[in-house]
This record gives sequence, C-alpha cells and structure tokens, in this order.
Amino acid sequence: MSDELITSDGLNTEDQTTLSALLSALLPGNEQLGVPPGNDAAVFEDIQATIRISALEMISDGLDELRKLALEQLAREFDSLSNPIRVQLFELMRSTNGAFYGTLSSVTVQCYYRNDQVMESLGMEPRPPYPKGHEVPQGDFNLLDPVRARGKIWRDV
Amino acid sequence: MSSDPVDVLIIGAGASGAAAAWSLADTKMRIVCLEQGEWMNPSEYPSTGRDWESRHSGDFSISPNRRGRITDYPVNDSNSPIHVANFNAVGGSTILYNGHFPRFHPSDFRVKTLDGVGDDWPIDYQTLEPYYDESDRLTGVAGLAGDPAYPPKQEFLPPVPLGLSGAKLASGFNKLGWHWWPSDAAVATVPHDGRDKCINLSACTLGCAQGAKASTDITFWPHAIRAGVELRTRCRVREITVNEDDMATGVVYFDEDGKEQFQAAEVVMVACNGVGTPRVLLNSKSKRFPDGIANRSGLVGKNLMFHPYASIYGTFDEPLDGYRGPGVCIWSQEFYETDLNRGHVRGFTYECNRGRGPVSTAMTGVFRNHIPWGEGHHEAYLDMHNRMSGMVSICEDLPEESNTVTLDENLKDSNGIPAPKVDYTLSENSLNMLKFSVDRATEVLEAAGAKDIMTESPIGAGGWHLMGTARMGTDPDRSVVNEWGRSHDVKNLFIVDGSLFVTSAGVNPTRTIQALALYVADSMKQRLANLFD
Repeated sequence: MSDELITSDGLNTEDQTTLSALLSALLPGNEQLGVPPGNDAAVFEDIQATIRISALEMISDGLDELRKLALEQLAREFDSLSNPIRVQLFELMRSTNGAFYGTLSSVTVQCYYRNDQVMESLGMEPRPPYPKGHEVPQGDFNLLDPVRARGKIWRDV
Repeated sequence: MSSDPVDVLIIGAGASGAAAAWSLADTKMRIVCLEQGEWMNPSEYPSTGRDWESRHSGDFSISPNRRGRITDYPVNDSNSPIHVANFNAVGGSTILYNGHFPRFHPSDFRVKTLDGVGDDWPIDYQTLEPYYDESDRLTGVAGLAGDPAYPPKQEFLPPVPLGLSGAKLASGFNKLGWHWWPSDAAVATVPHDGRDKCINLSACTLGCAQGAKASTDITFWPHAIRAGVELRTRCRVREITVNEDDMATGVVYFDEDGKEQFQAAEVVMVACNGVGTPRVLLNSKSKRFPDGIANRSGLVGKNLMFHPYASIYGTFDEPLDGYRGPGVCIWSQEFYETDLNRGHVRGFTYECNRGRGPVSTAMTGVFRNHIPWGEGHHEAYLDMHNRMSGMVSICEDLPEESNTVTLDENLKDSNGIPAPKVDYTLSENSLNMLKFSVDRATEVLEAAGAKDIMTESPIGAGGWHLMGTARMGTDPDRSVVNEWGRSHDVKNLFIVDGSLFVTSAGVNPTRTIQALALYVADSMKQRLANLFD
C-alpha cells in the first residue's frame, strides 16, 4: 500500500494520479466516436465513489504494485509511460493479481458504460430503464410456418 | 414460548407457499405463513437507477453468499460445480427469475417407464393439468397457442415480442428445420389482474419495477391476504416440533429482533425450496426423529437435482434487441425427448435470450478477450453492442442419492441455525448432454449468421432450480411424502415446493412448483374430514 494514508474520502493523491493515468490508457477518448477518455472527470468521480464502497484497500494496493512494476521492469514512473505500455503492465497483473485486475476492470466498465456521454454515443438515452421502458418490435410470427407444418413432436405416454 | 395454535402454518412465502396459501384461504381456516425475508419495494428495484446492471453483482446478486442480505442464509456449496441461486423475500426466487414459464411434458412424469432411468412420478400430467390452468390464470402467462412440443394448453395472454433477436435466432432454427416457438412467459403483455403490461425494461432478473413479471408477491399473495391469510415477515424457522404421536406441533422461529418464538399449529406445510426445505427438516431432530423430522426413509436431502445449464452466445453483423425487451424470447425443444443416438438419455430445452445491456456487453468482451483495453477498445465494443444474442440449454438432471443437502457442521446463519451444505457431482449423462447442447446451439447460431461464438458449460453460478430432496412417491422406503404431498412419517406435515420433484424435466420448474402446490392444497381440502388418517 502507498505510504500516504488512505482516508475515508477515498484514494490518496498518488493513487489518484496512477489511476487516472491507467484509465486514460485503458479507455482512450475518441472524438470521432464521441466518447470521453476513462479519466474523464465524471467517469473518474463515479469510479472513485464505487471503489470507496467496497474495494478501496485492494485497489490502492494494486495501484502501488503497478507503480513498483513500472520501476522494476522499466525504471520509469508509471504515469510517465506511454498508453500502450501502461496497458501492457496492467495486463501483466491479470495473472499476478487477478483480484485487482478483475475488480478494477469491472468497476471501470460499470462506470464508463453508464456515463451520459458514452450512452449517448451508443445511441442510448442516458436514463434508467424504468419508467419509460423500451420499444421492441413484435415480429413476424409467420416465421413459424415451417414449425407448424412439421406437426406434433411431443411424446405420447 | 406458547401461542394459540393456527390451523395451517406455512413456512416460506415463495412460489409454492404463496400458491398453497391462496388455495387454502377459501377454507376459512386460520392460516399463518412465516417468511424469513421481507416485502420488496419495486420502487427500489435496480431498473429505477442508472447503476442497474451493477447491482447484479451486489444486493441483487442471485447468490445468497454474495448478496449477504440480513434476510439471507449462507450456503456451503464449495463441493459443487454448480452454485445455489435463490432469493429470500415475499415472492422468494420469483423476484429474480426471468419468467421463463414452461410446463412439464406428459413424458416427464414417466421417465422410468419410458427410458429406464430415474423414477416415475406417482401422478401424471393429466392430474396436474387443471392446477396448471389455475396457476396460469393467477400468474398471467404470455404465449402463443399451438406449440407442437406440447399438448394443447388453454388460451394465453399475447406472446412476448419476437423482436429483432427472436427473428434472427428463429432464422437459424428454420434453416436447420428444428423446432422453435415463442416462449411461455410469466409476463403480463397486456394489463392483467391489476398489473400493468410489460414495457421491455430488460431487467427481469433484478425484480420488475413495472410489476409486469409475475412474482408471487404481486400475484397470489395479495389475493391470499385479502382472503384472510396472515403473512409474517422476518421470521426464520429453526425447527418443526413433534409430539410422541409423531404429529407436528408447531415451529420454533426467530423473529426480526432475533427473539426465539414458538407457533403452535395443527398442520405444518414446508415451502422453502429444494435446499431450504431439507435444511429445516434435517434440523428438526427429536427423540422420535433423530435424523430429522419426516426422514425415516433417510431420503431427506438426497437426490438433489439442479438443471445443468450451458450458455451459447454469438455476435451478429446487424443490431439486435440488446438491452431492450423481456429476457424471455423463444425456445426450442427439438432435443427434448430421448434419442440414445445423441449419447445421452433424456433431453433439454434451448431458451433464447435477447441480448445484453451495455455494461454486461463490456464485461463479457473484456473478460473473454473479445474487447481489448486501450487501442481498439471502442471499435471492438461497437462490434458487440446490441449485436450479441444466443441461448442457454437447460438440461434434465437425473436423481442420484449421492447428490445431497446436509447440515454444515460449522457454517451458521445470523440466528445460529446450521447452514445447508451441498455436495453435488455432474453425471456423465449430464456432461454428455451439455456438450451435445453446446455443439447443436453453435450450429443454430452459425446458421443464423453469428460469429465469435462464446460458451460456458456448465454455468457455475446457475443453480437456480433446486429439486428432489423430499421426493414424492407411494413407497415410504423410497420417498419422503406420499402422492399428495403428505409426509409418510408425520401425518400433519406437508411439503409443497420443488423438493417434491421425482425427476427434474428439462424445463424451468416454477410453473410446475405452483401447480403442485395447488394440487397438494386441493388434495388437503378434499380430505379435511380425515386428513390425518
């Protein structure tokens, strides 16, 4: 864990810097697609709030491990690395610290894909399913004609 | 610890307890139901919030161990490749089920006679048919008449929409000449019995905020309560007590404050599902029943059946339903009946689901290496968003005495009651059936134009269906209850849930559980004058 104390408010500054650098590498923004980077302010805030609920210590430990990995393998600070190298180091942790990799990956996609801008880029309204719901076409039940034509398939007793 | 006896005490307010309570209410007997869970508040269901998909892994997880609500009890299922799924509340696991609502087939009640495996049921399809019809009326079942995989059934509510996903998958079945049909669904597609119609929230397995999906807290229970049944929540039963005459005298339970209480009863009815029911019975030890009440056969907790499930999904070039629609779509029973050339006995149903929400799509893609982190992430995601669809195969599980629910020696719930321990092994027949189902589903998806087929077999988290652990039968040495649900050993003790199942069929059990509960309750009503003879 980082030397700096974790407070009940969430990750310390060093962890926040590392996490921001990692998120911008995992989910690069793309103006053409209209999607923000993973360290966009709203996404970042949501991710930190989610981590704070149940995984703060584990994520902090993992981020510390990520920084050490950068120093040991590349003699560089993690946030000074290029995006592809940051992703490579994170992928290394899939096998060495699966809990961190899995939890951070899960939290990241949860928060990213419920972000207003991301949902709008996917053609979705940024809202919960209820109460408006969604439209689904009824479909053409004439597709059943060959099934009907074949007749009974249940087994007599 | 004392109280005035009630006429009927029901343990559990899920699918079976609700149906039995409703049926018995017209006798005007004093009926009390004890439920360890609470009433759910639909305005708090996940689909009312932006984080709806995330709550699948939190307070609305199907795993009681993961969910860990105060109303849950832990389950030690570490010695099983399939893990228990349930929900503890008024409505039980119908709160979280998808609403797939098939009936058993006539052949499912004659497995031994037809295929030489398992056992025959002591009742048949015709016996249950009027109770299926009665349950269907209360539930509000959507479907399309004329399915050639079934005998004719009564009229339905309009079917759930095919949607883009259903039509796409149907094209695959049609190319192969295989059966498919719009699934029977416990979903109100038009307003029904005070419930509003489905608005395609796509969150059926997180509780239906619209109230269109038929969970028994909004189907049977309002009617039962209006008819005089008393439902007490946050009451967890520890044991059923018995006297020297082998008659149940009542139950010991813990109330919301953890205070031990006793409720005397003339009749006790257990409705706690295929894991909860043997847990209560086995924990009810006495001088008369040192191995647990109603267990002189030694079969309480044995013959546990899940349905081994496989998941087979693919991605398509064109947009499908994705995050829209009820989960229930179409089914196929092409491989339902036995054909030994397939390498297994008995069969399975394919249940096609529409698609996935945006978060679930990303999770699947990232963890299955279909979507990379970093460069190429967004493009790969767009290839999957609203383009995933597929099916699960729900395979018949055969009864084996080595698959058991017992009491854990160490693990206990918050009231100190021993937790259930599950020991379960997949049979060679199940493994063969799973493989066959994955191979054939892959053919369907490819025929429909899918690429990048993703499979999971068995679905480890998919222990939704808990059956067989207090089976019915006419022989007291080979069954726990008789052919109308009464314990062979304790003549005022009845069981009404999936524990009764002799075999599991290859379909979801809830419609049959409700029909069985209505059948047992009706059998009691017809014998009230000599119920204990």
